[in-house]
Amino acid sequence: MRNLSAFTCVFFLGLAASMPTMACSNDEMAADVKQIGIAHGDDFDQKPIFACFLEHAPEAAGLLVKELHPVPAPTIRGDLTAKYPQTMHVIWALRSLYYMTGMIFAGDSPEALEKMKLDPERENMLLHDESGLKDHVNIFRIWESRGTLYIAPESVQTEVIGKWQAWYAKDGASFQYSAHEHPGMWFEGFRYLHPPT
Amino acid sequence: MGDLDGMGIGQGGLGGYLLGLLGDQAPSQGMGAALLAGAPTGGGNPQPPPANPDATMLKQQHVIYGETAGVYPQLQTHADKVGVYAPRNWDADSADQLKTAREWMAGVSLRNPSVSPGSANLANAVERMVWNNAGDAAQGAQNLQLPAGINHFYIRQDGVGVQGPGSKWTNPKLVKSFGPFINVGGGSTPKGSKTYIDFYHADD
Repeated sequence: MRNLSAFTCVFFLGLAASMPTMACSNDEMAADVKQIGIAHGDDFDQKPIFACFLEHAPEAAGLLVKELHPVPAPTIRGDLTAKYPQTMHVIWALRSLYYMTGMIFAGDSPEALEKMKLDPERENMLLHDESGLKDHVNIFRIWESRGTLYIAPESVQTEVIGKWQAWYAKDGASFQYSAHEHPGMWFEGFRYLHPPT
Repeated sequence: MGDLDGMGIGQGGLGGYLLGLLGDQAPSQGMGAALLAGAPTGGGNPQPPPANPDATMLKQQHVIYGETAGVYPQLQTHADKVGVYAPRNWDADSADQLKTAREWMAGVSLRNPSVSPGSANLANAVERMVWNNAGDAAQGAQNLQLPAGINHFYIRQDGVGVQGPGSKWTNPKLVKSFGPFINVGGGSTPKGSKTYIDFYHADD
């Protein structure tokens, strides 16, 4: 029996060690979803928050999608993001979804955007990605060499938010969530067409 | 600077990017679908020869134009009133430095495509001149041996506004700084004569 007890003890210790430890609770995750981007603009460490979202992935994604709503669409300089808490909250909800899914939804009507006669720089950033084809509209983009954030007009935001809602309703529960680390994608909103190398 | 503004010169966004330039890289998914995101080519690896050198060079010309159309060399002390728009007024060393910075920028764009291309209105003499300068730099970039690891650049006005990437690049390290140049406006970088183009290595 002593041998069996020792075996049992080792067995359960091993089992416990192999079980994933939850670094954050469901309540903490829900609180992070409500607060992300609000207090400090871009100036905070997102890593533990993203890790928490991934631990509770389907639920977190659903809550993040619920946070999406159209926001005033300014152009925001990199050092001024903290002055726009509600806008940055939505931007960070989108960034979190990009990070967890590796997907970026975009608007379908570049022609409509061009008719809006936006500031040329903003239009260029919202229409451009690696393809150079201008076949979609980014909901937001960072101009990397300037650190400036450009946000799409409300009609585009509404369209893209609708796509996230439809996606989550259909695939959100069964989606294989994982970390997509490249900040050019999740932070800047740049859609890379090439596979990782 | 009001006169400069009136010329309508700015960085980036001057017209659209060249349609169809990269037709073979068009997304295969419908426009309504999300694109799966991958990482760009790593910064420290040698670049394979481009499949279509002419198309690559033209793309680089658009990138250089979009990123630096409002950036000019420093002026000689005896510059005439036409100022930055007349190459005869440019300081030769500064002009060389700007060309080199543009070549590096073209090289970076092969490693990190998160750049902002732009197109010139070739009916405008100044835009045409800058477009041609961008073409010279793109040509020069074809023989460039960009130092390993450089995969980002940042344009700043010294002492004014944002001075570097505050974003989420991983461990950004400043490798080389070109300048000072003159920024006449556009591109979110404040106007002024202490414009620097900084090149970084980051781990992402």
